[in-house]
Amino acid sequence: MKKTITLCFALLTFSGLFAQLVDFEEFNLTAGEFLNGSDGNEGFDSEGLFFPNSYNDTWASWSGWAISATTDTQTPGFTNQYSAIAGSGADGSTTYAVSFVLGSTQIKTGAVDVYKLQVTNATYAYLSMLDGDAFAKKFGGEDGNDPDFFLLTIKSWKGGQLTSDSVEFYLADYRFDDNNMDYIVNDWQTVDLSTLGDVDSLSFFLSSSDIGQFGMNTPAYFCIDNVETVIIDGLNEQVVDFAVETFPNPTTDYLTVEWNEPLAAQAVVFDMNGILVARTAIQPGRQSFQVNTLPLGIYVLKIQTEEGWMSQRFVKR
Amino acid sequence: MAWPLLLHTQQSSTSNHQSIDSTRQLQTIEITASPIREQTIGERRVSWQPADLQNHNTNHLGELLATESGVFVKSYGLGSSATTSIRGGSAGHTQVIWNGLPVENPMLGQLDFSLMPVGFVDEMSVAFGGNSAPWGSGAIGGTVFLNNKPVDREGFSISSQSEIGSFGWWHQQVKLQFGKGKWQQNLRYFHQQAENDFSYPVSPVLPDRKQENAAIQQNGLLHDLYWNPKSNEQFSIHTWLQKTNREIPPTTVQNHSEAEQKDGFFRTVLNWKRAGKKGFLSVRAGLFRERQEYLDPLINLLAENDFWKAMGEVQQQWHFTEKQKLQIGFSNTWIESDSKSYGQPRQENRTAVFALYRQEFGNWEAQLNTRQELVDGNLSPFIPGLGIQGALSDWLILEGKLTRNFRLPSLNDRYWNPGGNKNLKPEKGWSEELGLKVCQSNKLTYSITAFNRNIENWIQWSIREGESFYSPSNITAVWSRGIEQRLELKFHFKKTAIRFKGGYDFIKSTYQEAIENPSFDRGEQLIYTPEHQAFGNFQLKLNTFSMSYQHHFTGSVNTQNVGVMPNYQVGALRIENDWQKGDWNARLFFKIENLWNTKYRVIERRAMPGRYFRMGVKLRIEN
Repeated sequence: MKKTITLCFALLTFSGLFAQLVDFEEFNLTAGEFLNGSDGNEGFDSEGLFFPNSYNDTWASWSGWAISATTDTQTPGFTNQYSAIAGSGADGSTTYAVSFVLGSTQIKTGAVDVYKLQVTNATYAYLSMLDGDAFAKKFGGEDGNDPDFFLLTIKSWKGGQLTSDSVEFYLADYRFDDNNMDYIVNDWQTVDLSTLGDVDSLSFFLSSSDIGQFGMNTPAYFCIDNVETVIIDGLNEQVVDFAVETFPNPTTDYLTVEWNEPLAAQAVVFDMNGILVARTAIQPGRQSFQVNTLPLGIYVLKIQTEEGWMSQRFVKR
Repeated sequence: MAWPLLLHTQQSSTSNHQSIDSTRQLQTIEITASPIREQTIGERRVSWQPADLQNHNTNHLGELLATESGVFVKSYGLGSSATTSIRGGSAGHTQVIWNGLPVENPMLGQLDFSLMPVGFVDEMSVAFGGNSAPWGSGAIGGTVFLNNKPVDREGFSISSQSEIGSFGWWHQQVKLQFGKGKWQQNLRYFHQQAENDFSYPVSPVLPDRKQENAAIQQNGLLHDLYWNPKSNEQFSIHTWLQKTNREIPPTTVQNHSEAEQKDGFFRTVLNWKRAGKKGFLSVRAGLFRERQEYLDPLINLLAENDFWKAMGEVQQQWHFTEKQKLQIGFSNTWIESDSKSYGQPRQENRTAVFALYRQEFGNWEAQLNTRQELVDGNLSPFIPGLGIQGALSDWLILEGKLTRNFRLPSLNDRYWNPGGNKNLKPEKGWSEELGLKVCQSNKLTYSITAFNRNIENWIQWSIREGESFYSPSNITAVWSRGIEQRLELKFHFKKTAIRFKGGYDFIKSTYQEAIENPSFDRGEQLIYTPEHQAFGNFQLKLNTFSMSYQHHFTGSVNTQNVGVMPNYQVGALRIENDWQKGDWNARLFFKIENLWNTKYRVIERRAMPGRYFRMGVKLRIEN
């Protein structure tokens, strides 16, 4: 039976959710400094997120994440591997995180829900793509027409499994017919992760068109800053295999929820600032919620039961 | 087959300049008591005499090998480094012996042939196939022998050669030769420089791109001193100093480069040989010092590497009868190298004993070679080898060889930071070859050789799981096999001489175990090892005028990045004329390289020049 429920909108702050900005400034680095994991702590904690690092004492090499305040946007090559091409952190801040991706790099989110972050190229990768180096090509190739790309793919882990959900962001894209549109990202740009839903952790993959038998030639580095999170507090264990479908998404007037569990549940909707905007009970079966009065944007629908909870993103447009 | 036993008077060379005054031919001696180590049997060998080398004496050895031997030379471009692949082997599978001692860089385990000027070589040969028993580590694909020879006439001579050409090329060399009584000496010096600023195409609709940061300057000095205190005894000392400064050009997909590399070395070899009625004794010592600096100011990189290599060797050959010869030798090599990437100076000590025995059976000969090395106290694989050759008829010769081969890990393989692996095993394996040679009255020579080689413990740098850097390990095996054919025709009519040399090689060299990173499938051809190669050299000599045309074809190759790189054909034309007046000899020559203006690459992303020119003059005075 189809049931339409008009949500009562109330700008309430849900006591279990609050927004957080991870900007790495608490590491108190001064310009030119970096932390590459040589302390042996195997990573960096920041505001509920964990950025793993693998440091090899024997060879003084690292992969994963480093925390950096270096500002060199001119020096190519691996001797400048900790710098962001933007010359600072996002919004002119001092500190940011650099990733050297060996296969993939993770951020362990735990109870923290990452829905947005800012990304830019590392100077090493940027200048390599712009000018080429002894190992990697300049993007566009000899005649400028090669359809090169440098792609950051962010995937989510849920319930201990790597899902197929992903968000893609081109750190460089030379695939346009018009070469004037080709670009390499050189400033901080926002990447929306809200469509990934609630995750245990995030995995970052880099791929490039410049690839050979020894793997990717483009230096496997990128930088992030201003990771925006929502901390989910006081909720019981997340369950990811509830039988539920929501549609259409994106939506304009109604969001239909088909709840196929024999459980009573509570649905809450909050915006990207962690503000609760709606709350209602849902019953087994199909029911629709009127959302036409919601401002345009991305929302999180959380469904909570006595046995656990899950969430999904939807877009109001 | 008879082999000369004792000393013999050196025969007049085939050099164009050496028939001027036969009455003053110096009865110099050279102990060539056919050391069975230098002339092993059962293998295909190509030799260049001084006259053959003359036309290339402003080139480096890589350029000579690329056009005249069937050896694939991995050239990074004009003035840039060049390494070899013989019979589908890696660069480290070519052993280079200079006046009896190996000159490979022990840090890299290979030699840059662009640093080896042809003008500093009097005799050269390439023995194809495995030779690890007589010559040790690295003699797997082939062995290049470079020798300096004493002056063969009494008196003094001086020759000077100047050559200019496209892209700012200037080469100047001077050679002084002196022979009197028991003494002979050669002194050679060369200087060459080039901007190498050639243009190359990048697109049909874009202007050509001009090569930048590709200049080279090279200076070398070589002195050979020979003293023959007795008719059966000779001392010689060879001293070679060379310095090369070269810029490292950008790749074709790199906007600019400021990198440069400096290579300098000092090499000296002391030889003492004494022949007796029943053999000879040879003692050899060498001291090599090499230094390389790689500077890239753009990326704040300065890499300095240097090494000392001291070698000593004693070999005694006994001739029990005309048909039975035995040679036993002992050598010791001590290496000390230093590099920031090693963390500390590293040493290596190699001790080797080798024994070779040759037996004649009528028209047949067989030679058994064995070697055992001790490297830093660890036994290397025992290396046996057996070669046979025999005449099936007056015009047909059969040659065959079965040998085990090995290559020690280089010092970089063992100590490079990050990744160096001290537990690497030597590469090792067996090779077999069988060849037929047809000889018809010195006018026609044809040979066909089939070979097979398996190498296990192949050392490959790769990223291992959980590591963020490349490191070497013995992770695969390689199977190489192929067929080589050579044809040489000579024709003389009055003052006209025509000669043709040509060859075709088909070589498969494949990984026998798949690798994940780098990604190689089982059965995949190694990168930069063409399956097909062919070359042809045509020479016409008419009185004092001569002309030669060289053409070579290189089949497509697998590359590291762009997949398969297409085949190419390159031709070169040279014309020259000699003038002789009294003790004076003059030669003018003109060369067109890449005659057909072929657009090609030997290495992906490395530009090669189109058609270019060189011309020069050579003067020689004797008294």
